[in-house]
Amino acid sequence: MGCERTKQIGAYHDDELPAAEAESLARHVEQCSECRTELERLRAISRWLGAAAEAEAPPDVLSRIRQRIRPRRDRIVFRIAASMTAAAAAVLIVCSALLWQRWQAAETTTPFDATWATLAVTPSSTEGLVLYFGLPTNGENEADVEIFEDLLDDGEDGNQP
Amino acid sequence: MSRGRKPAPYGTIPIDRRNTLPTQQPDGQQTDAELVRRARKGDNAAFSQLLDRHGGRMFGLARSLLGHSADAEDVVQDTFAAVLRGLRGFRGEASVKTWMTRILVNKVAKFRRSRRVRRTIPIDAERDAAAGHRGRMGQAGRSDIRMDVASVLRQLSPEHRDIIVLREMQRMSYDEMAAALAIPRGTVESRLHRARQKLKDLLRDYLP
Repeated sequence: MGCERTKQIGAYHDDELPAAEAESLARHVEQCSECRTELERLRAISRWLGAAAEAEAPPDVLSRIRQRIRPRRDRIVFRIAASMTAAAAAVLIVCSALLWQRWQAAETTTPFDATWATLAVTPSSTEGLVLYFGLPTNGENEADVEIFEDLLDDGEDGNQP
Repeated sequence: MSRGRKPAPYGTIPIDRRNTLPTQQPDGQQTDAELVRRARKGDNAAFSQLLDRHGGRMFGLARSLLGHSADAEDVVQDTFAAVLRGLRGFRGEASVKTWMTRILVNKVAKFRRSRRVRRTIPIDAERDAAAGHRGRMGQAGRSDIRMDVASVLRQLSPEHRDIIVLREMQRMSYDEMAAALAIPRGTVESRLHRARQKLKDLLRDYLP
């Protein structure tokens, strides 16, 4: 029958027993060969494993790890800067497109580009109704009015409208 | 709650608990807690000091648990990345060392679950496996001892390997191991006992 107190040898070896228990077990170990052998085995294992413990990492390992881990604050600043740059680029593109559109519109002006924003109908003393449309200021209002007068032609001159 | 105590003449001065904790070790270096406090505020130099102070130990621990340097480096990198992310949530209930060890142990467990163990075995270990255990306990040079330990540790279950490495190579207390492994102290004791029984069985030809 093994000694009951060998179960405590591990904690005693690890210095995890309360002081009073440790003292009691120490006295017991002096008397008990089984417990003494168990303690010696644990000490041998500890020496052997402890000798293999890695105290330091190879020098390049930590430097590689440090390079790969970017501190959080730097990551946040980087993200904010990237977002702002993207937003600025988007604004620039939109503004450029709008300016291009306006420039294109200024280059090509025809009567048919007349805006329909205003439509005035006014009686004329000699020619009936004259339709006036709000037209771009291209100085050709009279000709345009003539075209639309034809639309109102009542056939007086013998021609069909 | 004060009873019958004379009120202070100029009111009470609130105690800032942060200022009562030691910020320096006896050797003049800043404590881990102080480095964490500074790192939490974005002090990169403080985080770098934590890495310098604990990186080697963490690498050794990971290497002992995984048996492979490249895997250990990956796990340590993941660990410190998690430490960086978790700085704000660290409440100081355990020591910084125990906290980081717990993260690493979790990362090791995750690594074991998600990846195949590398089949490439370091050349020295292959030679050792072919020769069998040669009883080099306490005799050979450092690299030979390390090689033999690695081959023996590989024969333990992950649970037993973890507890043996934390106790014997990291010199952690039972309470620290309980915190790092998130298990009760009683489980630490019983698991350590069983792991040692297994080790004694593996090394019976070389022990007293």
